[in-house]
Amino acid sequence: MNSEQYNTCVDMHSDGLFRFALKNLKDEDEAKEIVQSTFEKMWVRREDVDFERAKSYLYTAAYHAMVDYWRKAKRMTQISEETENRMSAPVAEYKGLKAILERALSQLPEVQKTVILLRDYEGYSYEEIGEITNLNESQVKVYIFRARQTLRNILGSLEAVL
Amino acid sequence: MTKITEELQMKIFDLLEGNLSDKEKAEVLNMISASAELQKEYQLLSKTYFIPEDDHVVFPNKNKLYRKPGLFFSWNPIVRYAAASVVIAACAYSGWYFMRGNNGAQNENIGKQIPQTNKIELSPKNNSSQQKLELNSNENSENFVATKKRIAPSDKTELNTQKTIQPDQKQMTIPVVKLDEEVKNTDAEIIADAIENGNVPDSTATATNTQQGPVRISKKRSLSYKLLHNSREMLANLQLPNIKFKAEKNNNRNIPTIKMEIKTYKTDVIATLIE
Repeated sequence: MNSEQYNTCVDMHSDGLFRFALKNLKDEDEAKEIVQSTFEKMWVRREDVDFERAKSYLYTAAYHAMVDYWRKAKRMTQISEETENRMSAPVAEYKGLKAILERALSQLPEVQKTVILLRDYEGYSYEEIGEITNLNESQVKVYIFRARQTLRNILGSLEAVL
Repeated sequence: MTKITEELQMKIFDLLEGNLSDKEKAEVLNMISASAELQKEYQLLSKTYFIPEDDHVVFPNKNKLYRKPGLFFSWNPIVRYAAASVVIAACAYSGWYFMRGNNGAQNENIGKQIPQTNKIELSPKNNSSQQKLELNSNENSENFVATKKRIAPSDKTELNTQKTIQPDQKQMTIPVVKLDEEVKNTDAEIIADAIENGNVPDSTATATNTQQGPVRISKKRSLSYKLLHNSREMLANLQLPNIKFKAEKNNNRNIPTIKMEIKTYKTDVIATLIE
């Protein structure tokens, strides 16, 4: 990949990658950092990355960076009060289905969240998602199914309340 | 009333995901249309899909991600190897140029060791066994004969045992006269200038008959001996266009004759008495 192709990748994928990181992490600064470091990594290894495979490379690298982030976050013994409050925010503050769905998404396990985002926002197939997340196709399908079940349950319970 | 099992959820899920064939799709759709519970389940599951168009996000630091292509850089391997070759060649040339400069300086310092040899032979008329060039400029010069010949390699070896650059060698007989007074800016210097100007590569002439061994002569040194005017003519026959000769009259008939090995260097001329 040459520098021109790299810049084309920035144009094509930086927004989507940022969305992917932002929705996974719910932390804008951390998401920016993930995107920055991911593109930096691809620039360093641009000789080894084909332009056609660049998107997959970016999402794989970003996913691995997020996994590292989650691992570090899990080591923390205390959950910040801000996060705790956010997790227990009242339903009434959400407006519309999209906000509810965003809220539901944030409650999913990381891997389910990731496969849903890759599937819905990036349109990846089970196989492609498996390449990014180091899962096989069956596992990807099951994770997506479980995620949608969870989302469905959350939506169903909210509809019952509202 | 239909009980929503995980199996039914999976069928609706496969329908929404597009995992079903047309036949399977038709069967599931028929099943859903026949059940209110399945319809509700279908609606709830269909709401779990995110629509990208509804959620466009712009990465704010995009400008930091762009990279400017290098001015002379390309990741094309051919271009890279070519560029590397150019750099190596440039380094090699620089090294060669530097070494050449050093060698030049060394040659100045060890000029005696790497001579470019020409021979100007000063001899009486009857000593010459070589191609003769008669000089008839005046009465004092009639006793002398200028000769030109190619020096055989063995002659050169005999004259100089050190490494010698193969020169365009010439040999000639030139009468010289000893002057009582030191004369500056003599013909020898003029000739040396001509040699250094490259008019006749690697040849010059100066003379001494009073000492053995090499005599270093440079343009800045004065000379105690002076070439006669007929010697100048002979040198003129060597086609040294930059030499300007002054007419001089010499009444000394006892002009000593010597053979000289003339070695020229970058800045110095070495005259060695041969006989």
